[in-house]
Amino acid sequence: MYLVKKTAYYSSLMLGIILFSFILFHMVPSDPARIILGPNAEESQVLSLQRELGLDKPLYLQFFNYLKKITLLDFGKSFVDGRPVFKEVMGKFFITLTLVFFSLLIILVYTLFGIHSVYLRKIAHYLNFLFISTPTFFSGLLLAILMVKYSPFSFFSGSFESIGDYVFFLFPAFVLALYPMGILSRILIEEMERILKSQFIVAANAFGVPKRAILYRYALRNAVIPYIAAFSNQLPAFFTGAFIVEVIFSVPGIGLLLIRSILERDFPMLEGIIIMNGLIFILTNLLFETVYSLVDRRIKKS
Amino acid sequence: MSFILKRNVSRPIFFLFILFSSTFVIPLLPLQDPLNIALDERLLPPSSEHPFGTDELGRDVLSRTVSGFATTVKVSIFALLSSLAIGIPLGGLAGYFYKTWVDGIFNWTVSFIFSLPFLLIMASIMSIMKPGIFKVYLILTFIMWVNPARIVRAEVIRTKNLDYVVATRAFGASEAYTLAYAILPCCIESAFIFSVSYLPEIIGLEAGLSFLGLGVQPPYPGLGKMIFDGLSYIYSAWWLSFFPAMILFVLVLVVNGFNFLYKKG
Repeated sequence: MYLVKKTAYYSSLMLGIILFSFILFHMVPSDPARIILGPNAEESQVLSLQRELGLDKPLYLQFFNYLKKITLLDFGKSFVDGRPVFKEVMGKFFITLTLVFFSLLIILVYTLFGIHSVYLRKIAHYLNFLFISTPTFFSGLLLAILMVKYSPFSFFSGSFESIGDYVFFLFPAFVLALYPMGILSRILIEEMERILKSQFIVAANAFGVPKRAILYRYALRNAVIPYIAAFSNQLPAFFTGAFIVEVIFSVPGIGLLLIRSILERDFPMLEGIIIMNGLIFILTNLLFETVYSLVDRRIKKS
Repeated sequence: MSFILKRNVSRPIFFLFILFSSTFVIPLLPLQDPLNIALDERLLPPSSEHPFGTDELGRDVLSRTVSGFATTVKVSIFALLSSLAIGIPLGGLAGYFYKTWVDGIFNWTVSFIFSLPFLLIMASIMSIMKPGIFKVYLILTFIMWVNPARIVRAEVIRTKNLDYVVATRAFGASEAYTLAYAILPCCIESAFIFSVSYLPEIIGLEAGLSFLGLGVQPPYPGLGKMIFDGLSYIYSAWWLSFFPAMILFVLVLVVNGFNFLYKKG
């Protein structure tokens, strides 16, 4: 019941995202048919293309057609070079998601390592401050400049064929991980310190439960729920960071596609990026909701 | 407006004021004109004459960085204050009508705005218009009001059933009066205190928009745009993008440092 409710809620959000992109790009002052054909095209050509694209129909009909197309995963073709949008966006998303996956691993290692002992927590406390304060621009540029000068792996070949591509990916992934790493580690450490002061930990200590078991089995399991919640809240910011990191390291992912589509006013491409991004957000959130209800059974009841 | 005089609110406001007034000192500094093109001084490395070097058109990177910094700070602070002005009443309404359709719409809107990366929403809105710095400010406000609104909503829900509010109502105050004069003044404070903690995010987004070419338009310098342009010279002239990024880092570090110290004591 809980999951059904959540699914309905997220579906309404998805509909909102589709409506947003529809309104945004179909009420543009400039005419899409005119953009495709260029300023020198004849008026009759523009009119016939408008009919072909369904632009002469009333707006609500256009929206239903649009919705129908999107459920069939057909986002149309790029205004600029006629590539199918869905294929293009999916290909780029694969690269961006690989980057995100790499940095998720880095985050996981750092945050779990950071709670290990009191000293580590103290060090992590100051490191987190530094990580949160470093804009992606700065850390990315610093690393990019150093890589250009000293590293043999200074470019990405576009596909994951050689081991060098994977090694290269560690650097942008690390830059992307910095900010969420600081935030998430801070949340986990605060939560851990709160829990370690509570009565049942004192009791467990008195019973002589080993320190490591207390830390990882008793405290961590309770601290993990706000951590997961913060994780899912960070996801959109994560993608914002990924766009910038990709441009800095010239990784041909969604970020580079976004910047090119903006420059070329390629609206179908932008629509595709927005909707696919929304879809990913909603699917991951549903996943997180499932994880919550598995980790903490109390959530289902409330 | 007596809440401004309270000690814990006056410090963030004072901090914002200092930061804001620093942008008015900058034009008075003895720097070169950031728009002055000197083609015989292209891509010079940092020296005593040009401490941050010169760019591909021979313009002084130091003065460009500094003036880009001023723009970023101004836009960010204006956006912060306007987002407070919008977010506080909306959050107050949502909290007051907790669990009714007003609150439902509010929550849906907030999670809608949070469901896409901010930069993507902003970039797509900006891409259909002619970019400009005023629109950057409008869109930053449009996105950022959700932060204070959420805080105020939570505070209002906590406050609205306290005894003194019930007493106000019992004396015959109207609903609007109760909300505006009894509840909101107690809830605004935390919104103001938290406001500085998401200033770094606003700064980052402003730089991000400028980075995508949707912020300050050339020839006027914007930090993000300078970083982006410098990327094509990263092999030969690292100083083009390094120094704007460093200034951004220092700015965020200062704001976060203030937050850190402020929360501590």
